[in-house]
Amino acid sequence: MRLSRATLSLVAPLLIVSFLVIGPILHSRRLLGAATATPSPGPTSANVQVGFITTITGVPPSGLQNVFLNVVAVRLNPKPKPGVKNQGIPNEGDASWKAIPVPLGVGLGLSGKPGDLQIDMIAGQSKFQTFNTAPIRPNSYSSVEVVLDTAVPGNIVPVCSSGGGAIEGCANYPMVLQNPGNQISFISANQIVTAKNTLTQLPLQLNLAIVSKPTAPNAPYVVNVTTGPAPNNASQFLASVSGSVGPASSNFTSKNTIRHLEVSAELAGTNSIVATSEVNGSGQYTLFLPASADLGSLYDFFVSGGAATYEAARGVPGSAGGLMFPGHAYTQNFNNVVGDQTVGTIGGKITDFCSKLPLPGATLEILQAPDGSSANCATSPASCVSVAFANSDNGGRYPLPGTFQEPNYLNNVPELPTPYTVQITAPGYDSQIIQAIPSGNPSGVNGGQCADSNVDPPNCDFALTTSYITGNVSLTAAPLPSNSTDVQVFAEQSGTNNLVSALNVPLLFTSGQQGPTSYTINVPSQPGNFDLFASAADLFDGQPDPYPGHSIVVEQKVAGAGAACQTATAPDFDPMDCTGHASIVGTAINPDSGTSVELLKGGVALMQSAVGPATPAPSVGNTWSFCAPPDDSYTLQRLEQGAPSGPAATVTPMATPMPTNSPCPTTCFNAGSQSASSGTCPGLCGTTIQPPL
Amino acid sequence: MRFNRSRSRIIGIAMLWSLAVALCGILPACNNSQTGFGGFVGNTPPVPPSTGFKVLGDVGVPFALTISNANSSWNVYGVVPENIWIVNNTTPVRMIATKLANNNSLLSLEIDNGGTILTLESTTAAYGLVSIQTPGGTLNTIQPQAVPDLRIYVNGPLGQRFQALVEDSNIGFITNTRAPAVFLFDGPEGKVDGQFTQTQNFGSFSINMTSGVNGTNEITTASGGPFVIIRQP
Repeated sequence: MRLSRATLSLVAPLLIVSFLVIGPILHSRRLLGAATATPSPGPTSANVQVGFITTITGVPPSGLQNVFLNVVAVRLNPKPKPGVKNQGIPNEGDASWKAIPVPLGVGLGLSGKPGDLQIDMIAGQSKFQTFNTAPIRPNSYSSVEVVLDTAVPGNIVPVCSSGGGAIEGCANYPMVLQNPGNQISFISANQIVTAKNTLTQLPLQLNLAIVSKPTAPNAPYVVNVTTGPAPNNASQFLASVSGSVGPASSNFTSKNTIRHLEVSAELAGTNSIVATSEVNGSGQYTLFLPASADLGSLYDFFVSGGAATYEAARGVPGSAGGLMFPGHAYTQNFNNVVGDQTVGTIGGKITDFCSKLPLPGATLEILQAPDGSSANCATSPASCVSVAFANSDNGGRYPLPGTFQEPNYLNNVPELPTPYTVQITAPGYDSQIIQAIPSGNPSGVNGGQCADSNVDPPNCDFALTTSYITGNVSLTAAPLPSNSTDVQVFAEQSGTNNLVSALNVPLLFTSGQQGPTSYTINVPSQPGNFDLFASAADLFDGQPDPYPGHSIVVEQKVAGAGAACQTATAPDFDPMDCTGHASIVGTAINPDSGTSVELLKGGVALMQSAVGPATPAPSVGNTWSFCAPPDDSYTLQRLEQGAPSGPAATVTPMATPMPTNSPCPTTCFNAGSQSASSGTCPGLCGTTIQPPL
Repeated sequence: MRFNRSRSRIIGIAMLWSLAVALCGILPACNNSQTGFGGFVGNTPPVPPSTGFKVLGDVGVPFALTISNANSSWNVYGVVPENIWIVNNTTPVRMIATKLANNNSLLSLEIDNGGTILTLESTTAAYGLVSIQTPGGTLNTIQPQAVPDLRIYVNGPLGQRFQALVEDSNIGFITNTRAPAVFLFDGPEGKVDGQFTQTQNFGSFSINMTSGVNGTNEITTASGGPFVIIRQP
C-alpha cells in the first residue's frame, strides 16, 4: 500500500514527463513525414508531376527583363466532394490538404519548409517548367492551391524607360501581393485522380497581373496572382514518353543502398535531367516532357538503378531526328536492361595537376553509347549519353554521399568485366576521359579500378591539367570611402559564346584602390585562343545590383599558354568606368523558338537574350532585350539554334544616364574619363530601341 | 505512517528531479531556443533564430561563392545544394556567386531566418553572376579573408536533417539544418569542435574540418552516425 502510494505519486509527473518526451518525437515524426515526402517518388506510390505555364498582364512583356515568382508548394484537397452544393475551396487550415513541396536541393529548409522555387515568369510564357514530381496519397482531388511565399513573393527587374521615368531600370524591385491573405486556388472541373503505380500530370497556369508599378526607389510592384488548370492540359507544351523496361528483373523493387530503377530524360548531350520516372512493378514508366512546338526537342534517355545494367537512347523512335513535339505520345522501350547485378563504387579523389590541391566541384559522368549507335565514347563523348554522374567535395573526393534510399549514382554502378568510359570535367580545366571498373561497397569514396589513373593506379584518383592567363583590371576611379567594387573575369573560347571559366574569387577594389589589379584565371591548356571580359558586381540603393553599373571591358583572341601549368599574359583591360545602367531592346523578324540575339563588344560575346514569347505562348511576341551598361561599341548578332544568322548589326548610340550628385544610388562614380563631369553618379537610365533583326 | 508518507514524497520528488535532469539531457539546448533553429548554449535566455545562407537550384551545378559579413569573408566552392552557416556572425552579410556552368541551369542564393526566407535571388544565365544581402543593412565592402579560416564541412548524407553544435572555448552555436552544410567560424578562440546529431536516418555522416583559405586543407575527418563529434587537432 505504501509502495503503491509512492508509485501513484509518481504517475502524474511520469505522465507529464512522458508527454514532454514523446510529444516532440511524435511531432518530429510528423515533420519527418512531411520531409520524407520531399525527396523522390516511389515505384509503387501514386505520383503527381506538377508544373507551370505562365502569363503576364498589365505591362508589355518587352518592358520586363526578369520576373521571378517564389513558389513554396502546390496543395491538393479532395474537398469539395462532387455533387455537394455550396462548398467552396477548403480553408487554409483544412487537414485534408496534401502538399507537394519544392524538391529537396532546389529548396532546402526545415520542418516541411523546403524553401522557395523561383519560377521564371517570362520564360514560362513559352515553356513548361516542372515544379516537382512527388508521391501523394491515392485519391480524387478537387481543389488545387498554389502556395506563394507571402513575405517574399518575388521580384521584378524592368528595363529602362525609353522616354525617361521616375524609377531606375535594370534594378531589382520587390513584389507584393495585392491580397496576400487570399488563396491562390481553384476547384478543378474534373477531379484529379491519383492511383498507385501511376504518374498523374498536373499542369497549372500561373497568371501574374501587374496592378501598379513602383513610383519611387525601392517601392514594390503590386501584383495579383491567380492560377487555374493549364489550357488543354498543357498539350501545346508537353509530350509524353512511355514504355517498358526489361527483360524482367527480380530487383525492380529497391532496398536500402540500391537506387530505384528509373528512367530519366536529360537535355541531349548534357547531364541536365529534366524528368525522372520510377519503373513500376510491371516494368512500365511514363515521362511528361516539355517540347518545342515549332522545332521539336531532343532528349537523351537512360535507365539506371535497381541493380540493373544501364541502357541509353538518344531521341524517340519513329520521329524524324528523334525529336519530340508537344501533344504527341511516344513509345521508348528499353529491352536490354538486365537486373540482379552486383553493384560497386567508382570513387576517388580529383586534384589539380599543377597545384596538387584538391579540386572541389569537378563533375564525373559515365558515358554510354545510345541504342543503335556504335559510338566510341572515349573518342566521341558528344555522341554518348550521360547515364550516371557525381561531383567532388571540398576535399576533391567523389562521389558525394547520397542516402540509404538514394545512393549516389557512382555508388551503384553495375560491375561488369569491361570498363566504363568516364568523363571528368571542371571549369577552367582540361577534361579527361578515363576507363573505370567499379568495385567495393556501394557507399563511400573508395572503390573502383582505374588502370589509367595519372595519380595512383589502379585507384581512381585523377589530376586535371590546366593553364593560366594573367592580366590586369583597373577602374577609372577608386571606390568611395568605405565602399568597394567586385569584378569578375570570364573566359570563353575565342569567337564563340562557349564560356569555359571564371575567377574563383572576384577581384576586390576597396577605397583608394583604382588598380591595376592583377588576376589569374584558369583555362584549358590545349592550344587555342580565348576571349576575356570583365564585369562588375555593383550595389544599387544599397542592395546587390542584378546588372553592372560599370562598363564591361573585353580582350579578344588572347592566346592561351598551350601547355599544362604554363601562364600566358593578356593585354591589360581598358579601365572600367562607372556608366550606370542602360538597356537595349528590339524585335526579330519572323522568329521561332530557336531564335536568340547575342550582344557582343569588340567581337567578344557577352550575353544572350531569347526572343519571344515564342510559340506556343498564348500571346506570341518577337521582342528581345538586354540590360547592359551604355557603350558605343556593342554589336548585335541574331542566332538561330545557336548559330549566327545574318550580319551583325551595330548598336545605335545608347542613352547615357545624366550625371547626378545626389542622391547617389550606386557605389560607383565617374572619374571623368568617359564622362563630362567628374566625381558624379550616373542618374536614371534610358533604353535604346534597335531596328528589327 | 508519517515517515512512510514523507519517504514516498521524497522518493517521488527525487525521481521527478532525476527525470527532469534526464529530460534536459535528452532535449538539446536546454534553457535555450526550443524552436529547433538556433541559439547560443549556456545559461542564457532564448535568443532569436540564426540566419542561414543557402546555395540552391539544379542539383550538381558548380559554383564559386564569396560570402562576407561585417568582419570577414570566405570563398566557398562546391555544387548545389549547400547550406552555409557563419558561427559568431555579425550582419550585414553579402554573398556573390558565379555559376560555373555554360547552360541555363538554375542557381539561387537564399537567406533565411528560422526557416523564414528573407530574400532570394536567382540566375539562369550561362556563368551567371548573382548577389544577395541580408535585409536591413548594407555591407558596403567585402571584408578581408577570415584569419584563421576554420571550417567544418558536413557533406552528407544528402538532405539529412541534423542538429549541430559548433563551439570554441568561448561560445557555442546551435542550429538545425540539412546536409550538405558548411560551418564557417568567424574569429574562433582556442580549439573548435562540432557535435552533430542526426534527426533522420538517411545514412552516415561524412564530415571534415579544414584550416586555411578555400576549405581544401583538411585537418581532420569524422564519419558515422547518428551522433558524431569532430575536434580540431
